[in-house]
Amino acid sequence: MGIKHKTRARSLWVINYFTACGFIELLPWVGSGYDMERFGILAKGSPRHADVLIIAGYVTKKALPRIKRIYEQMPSPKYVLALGSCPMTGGMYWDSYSTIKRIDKYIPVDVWVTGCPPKPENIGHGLVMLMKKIENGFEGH
Amino acid sequence: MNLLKSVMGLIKPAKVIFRILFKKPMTLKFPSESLEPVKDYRGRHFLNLEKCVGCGMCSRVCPNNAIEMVKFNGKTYPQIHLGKCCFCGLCVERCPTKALTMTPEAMLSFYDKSLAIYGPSKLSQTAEK
Amino acid sequence: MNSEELKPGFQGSTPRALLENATISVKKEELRKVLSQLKDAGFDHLSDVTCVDYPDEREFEILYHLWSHAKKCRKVVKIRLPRESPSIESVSNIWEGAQIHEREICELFGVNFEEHPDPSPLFLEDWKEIPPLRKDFDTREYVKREYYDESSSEQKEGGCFLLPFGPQHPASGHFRALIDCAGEEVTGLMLYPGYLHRGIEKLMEYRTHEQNAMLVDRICVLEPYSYELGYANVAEKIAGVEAPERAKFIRTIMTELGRILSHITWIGMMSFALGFESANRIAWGDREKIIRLIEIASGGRIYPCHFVPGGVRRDFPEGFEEKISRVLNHLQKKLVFYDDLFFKNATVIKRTEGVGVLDAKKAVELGTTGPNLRASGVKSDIRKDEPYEAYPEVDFEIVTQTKGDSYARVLCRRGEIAESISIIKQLLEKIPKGETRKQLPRKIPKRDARFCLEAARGEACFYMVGNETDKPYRVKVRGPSFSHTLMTFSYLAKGAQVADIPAIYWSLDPCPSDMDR
Ligand code: SF4
Ligand code: SF4
Ligand code: SF4
Repeated sequence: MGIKHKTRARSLWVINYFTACGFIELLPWVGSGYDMERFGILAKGSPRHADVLIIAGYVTKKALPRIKRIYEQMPSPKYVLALGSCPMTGGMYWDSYSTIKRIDKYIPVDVWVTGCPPKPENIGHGLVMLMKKIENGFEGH
Repeated sequence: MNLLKSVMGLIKPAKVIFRILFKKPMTLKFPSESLEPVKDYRGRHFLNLEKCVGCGMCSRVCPNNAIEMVKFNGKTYPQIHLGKCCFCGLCVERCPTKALTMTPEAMLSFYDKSLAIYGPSKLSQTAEK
Repeated sequence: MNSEELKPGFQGSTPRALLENATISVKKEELRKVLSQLKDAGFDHLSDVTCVDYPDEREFEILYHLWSHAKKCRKVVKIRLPRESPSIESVSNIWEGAQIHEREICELFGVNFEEHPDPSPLFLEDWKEIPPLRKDFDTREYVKREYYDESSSEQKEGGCFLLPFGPQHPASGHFRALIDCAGEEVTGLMLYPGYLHRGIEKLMEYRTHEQNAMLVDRICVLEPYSYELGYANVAEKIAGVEAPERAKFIRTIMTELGRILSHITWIGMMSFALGFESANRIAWGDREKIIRLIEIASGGRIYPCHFVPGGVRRDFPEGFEEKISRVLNHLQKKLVFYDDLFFKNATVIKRTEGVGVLDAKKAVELGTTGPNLRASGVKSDIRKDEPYEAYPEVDFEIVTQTKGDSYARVLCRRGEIAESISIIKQLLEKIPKGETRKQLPRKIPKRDARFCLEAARGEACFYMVGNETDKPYRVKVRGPSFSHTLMTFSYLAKGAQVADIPAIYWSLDPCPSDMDR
């Protein structure tokens, strides 16, 4: 609660690192269709400036150490949003030899957004849920 | 001449952008307003408990192994893990009694992964509005 | 051609046979000779190198798919290798573009290519099992052991980190690029792909046609329709079934819409790369209009899952034709607006003109296809050269440019949007009535088939082998971005200015997700 959490929830900066196909439904959010800057969400190039890591889709074995590295470089408090079925359970690639099936084994995830890829409305719903969680006093990781 | 050309080349895009300022914005004011969902959008499943005969065809065709057959009220029904599903609609196409259909409901985000498992009772609820 | 030299080679045994037969089998020793003779005879484009594993016959089969830009015909050269310690001569000294295909086979099948310039693994890191695309590697077993067994230890961590290339981040997908530069000039570029590799070709061997139709969508994010079309067509070809006429029209219309969608997304990416964000926001706003159409027609937004082998899953809904026409008219008007905003913008011209010049000969050598090749002045378009689906019914121009620089590629894509709009308009007038889906026989016959189509980025090909079961024995996908990123981009980047790298990269319009598969 309180002003600290309220302001935190209104300035979520996202790291500009979108792993896979889930990113395509973030385009309407970046573009003028939904415009995420209304929520105070900005895409940032450096992990040191970012608060939110969006895992947009499948994570391969090769990409996992890099994502962990980015996650570790982000300053606390940090939040993680997972888009799509792939990070959740493996999704489409549940029997692929090269992708990670459960991302929460490696990185804690705060909000899960389902869909393949999730509709932009659903992503917005997830972002609003994350904002609500922070407003209600969630301290992040 | 060259300089004039480049200056003109810069003025034109600026003019175009200036004109947009007076147009109706493209942006949708989510979450207070959202696009009307398309009627046939492949969103969350809906299961008609009366029609379903528990044949398991849907679970066999699913490419992602998202459907599991579970016991409910003494009969077998499908249980769908929406976190595995890719919303392809093959299960709906294959269902012999048309018990399984898809609704345009797409707002499916969860704090906890296990909430994405939709059992027969949850599947047979219509979308809350 | 010298007929004496050719005689002992292949089974046809005359040089005429070499030129006339669509498929030739050669022995290992003659491979280089035959291929270089074919290249001299006009087969200048190496479309793909495919490997198929036959464990029962204890052999690998390697296929070289060639295409002649001048004669407009295809040729396949087949070669059989023993499965134990397979080794073959590299042909990268004949086609530079062969390098990358051979490297892929070397990694995924464990075939050794002699005298290959760089045989290091492309996609996988620390791979200790047998090469994954071999038939005796069972991915479901492996996955169960590796991920679903709770007692197995956690993944080991690698030590390197991702180095974003150039001054801006590539907005789509990722790979690692190491840039050597002397001052402002790039002297060397090393590309490390594989961050998106998920082994789609292997997964297809475990799924039926229906399920595969859902999987092929996920090959390319920016343009799934072309890949759906390719898979549906190759499955029909191998079964010897023709799709109903109306289904063909629907597929062609939707594929062309997908092409416009892809090019409009690309306008956004390109302007983002040039640091011109207004055009980016506007283009990605416009994208929504086309996506909405796709949503109405198919029920999915990005991955429509619309085409299946044998036809389409859904006919057009009521009144859909008018909706398309309305959006197309809007886009036609908007194109003039984009001219002022982007295509004739002095900044865009300054950033792209004379940057990344690719001449026609080198482009063909590197395996470049699609708009990137046409921008270098080669008039090649599979829609015209080997018309498929409903393309014989329409009348359109192949858009070409002559300069081969980044700006030529930009203009080429602009021309293609206009052409696609006119193609859809013509098709909408001619669309017949009738059924839209046929059932395919459940079993895939024991033969092979290949189908090539013109995707928005270039030549996409599907090669399928059947085995009298309901699952394909092997599917090979050739995506255009594979050659574009790994060969054309690294060639163009050498010697360019560091600041020009994004302009070059995005003018090629690659899709990393398609590159890695
Ligand atoms: S859930 Fe679907 S859209 Fe998301 S990464 Fe996986 S396959 Fe791609
Ligand atoms: S939903 Fe349909 S396919 Fe699935 S068990 Fe019930 S009747 Fe069979
Ligand atoms: S929509 Fe597709 S992925 Fe989802 S449960 Fe049905 S068949 Fe499985």
